[in-house]
Amino acid sequence: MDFGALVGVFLGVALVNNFVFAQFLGICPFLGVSRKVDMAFGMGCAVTFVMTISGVVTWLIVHGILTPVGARLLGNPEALYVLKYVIFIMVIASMVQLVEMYLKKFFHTLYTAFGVFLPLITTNCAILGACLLIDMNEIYRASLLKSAVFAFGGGIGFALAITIMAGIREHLRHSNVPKALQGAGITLLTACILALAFQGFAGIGK
Amino acid sequence: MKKFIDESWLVLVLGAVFAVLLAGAQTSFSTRIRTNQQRALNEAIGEVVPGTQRSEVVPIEGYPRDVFKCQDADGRLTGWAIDAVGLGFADKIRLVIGLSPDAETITGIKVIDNVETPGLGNKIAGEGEDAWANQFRGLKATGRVVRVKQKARPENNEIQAITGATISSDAVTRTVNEAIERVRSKLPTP
Amino acid sequence: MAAPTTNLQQFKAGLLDNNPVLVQLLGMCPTLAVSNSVENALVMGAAVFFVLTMSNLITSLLRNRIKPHVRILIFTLTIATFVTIADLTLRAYVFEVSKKLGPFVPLIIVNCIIIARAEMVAIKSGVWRSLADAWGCAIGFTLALCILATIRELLGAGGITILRDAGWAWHVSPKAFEPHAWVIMIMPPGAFLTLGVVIGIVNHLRARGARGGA
Repeated sequence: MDFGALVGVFLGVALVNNFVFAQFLGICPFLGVSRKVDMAFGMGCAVTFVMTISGVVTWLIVHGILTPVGARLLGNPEALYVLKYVIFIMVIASMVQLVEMYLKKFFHTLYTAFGVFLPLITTNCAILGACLLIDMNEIYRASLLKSAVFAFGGGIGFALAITIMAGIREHLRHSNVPKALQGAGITLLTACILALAFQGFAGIGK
Repeated sequence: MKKFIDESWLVLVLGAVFAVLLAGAQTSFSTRIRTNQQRALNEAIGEVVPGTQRSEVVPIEGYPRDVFKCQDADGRLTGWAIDAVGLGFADKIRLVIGLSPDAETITGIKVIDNVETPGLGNKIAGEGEDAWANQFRGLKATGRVVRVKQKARPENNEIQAITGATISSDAVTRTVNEAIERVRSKLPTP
Repeated sequence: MAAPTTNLQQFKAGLLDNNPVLVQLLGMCPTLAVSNSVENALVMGAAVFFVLTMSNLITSLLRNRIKPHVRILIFTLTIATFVTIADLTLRAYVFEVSKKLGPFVPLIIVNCIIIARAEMVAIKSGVWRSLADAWGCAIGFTLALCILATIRELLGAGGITILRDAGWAWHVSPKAFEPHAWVIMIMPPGAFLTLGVVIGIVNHLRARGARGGA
């Protein structure tokens, strides 16, 4: 297995095409949960976990079920693709439920710490976004391993973005932000600068 | 069992109704969508191999993408078109390369998919009289195309990079060279 | 502000006072991604209009039969179905734009705006009220997107171009500006910047309105 290619995929999605700063995924939790570093980091971990599993499961469903069933029963491997979006979102919702139940049973403190954020991960566009991006890209569609690395890297990139933002916002609490910009305003402006910084990663594929 | 049905009958009914709806939408739109997907490629082939009215895929051993044999309305060979993909500055670049019937000369290239930096890298896809890609017309396919910077008059098989977008220019040049190298010797003799 | 009591008030609320993007701060992902050109913004707005209408309509029609335990499931199922239909329609009729919108059309499924309206209005209101709400929010969303897109495209590309591939192009540009365009505006940092500034302005205006008016 070409390890270099996998590293390329990982860095590509975690840094160059960062889900938050370059692809605009996961903005709602990014704005909502980035107030404190420990919460942000926890959210980042949960998202990475759910994203990786969902990415792998949706890939397996498309290639292991939809394509062969379509080919065998209907003569056209792409016939059942119209059900993809419905299936993807159902899978993600179920994964989140499972993660919730698992945490509740085995890591109860973490579960209470997350509170309402866990179910909110379902509507986190980053998770569905990762599954869709894998599905839309010829390279990842062909390789489960690369898709898994992509999903994992995407989650890490998100975790990185949200944690950095939380660090900055904790400092901002002691500054004088104009009233109109408090909350979303200043967060977005900070994100602008961070996005500019992350642009610097472009070309790392070389 | 009754409780299950009691709670979820609506979900099952809706599921069935929606499945039918989706199947209907799929059948109505699929032909149009397929035509759309082909259109960009067909238009590009028409541009890089002048005079082409028809094209058919010819399988080339060891090359995973499509290579087209291009003919005019009377069936005469107008040239060859190669669908090539390479890694650019930002992400993949997809382009079509046109070769003359004897596969000795490049008749043109067209970038059909790219996400390079707007205003800089994406000039590789620019159109019109002074499009950057026009430089490739007439170059020799028998040797490598070479990218140079700030040379007053590029000569034999050299092309000028876009100022401020060397990496994108390099990506296109490299993709063109690699594709031609892999395909040219394996083209069927007309 | 007082809860809207008439359908017209519900409509206007979604449009301005309770604008889903600029006031409720929902649906930010597509807002940032799709506001890089007015054409993208309008097509996205149309897609959201369609999905929100159908979602609110169906939820409202079935409101007395949806059991509480399964309501989120039903919302999601409905939304996913109509998003798929919208996606197919876009790919059939405006293929180039649909490619530029990328994953954001299917991402309408998790657009918080749609689920929020189903949960807060459609499940408890009659058909016309739900439709008024859907239309107000959808047009409000499109409006917000277009405001951002106009700023970004004018400053970032030097002009606005619409419907290039449907055969007719409507192009507006102060020609002199084009070579000096700030390309950064159509790239990610520009998105964050524009949205941040616009929200700041909206907050400021709202605060002034609250102090001066009520």
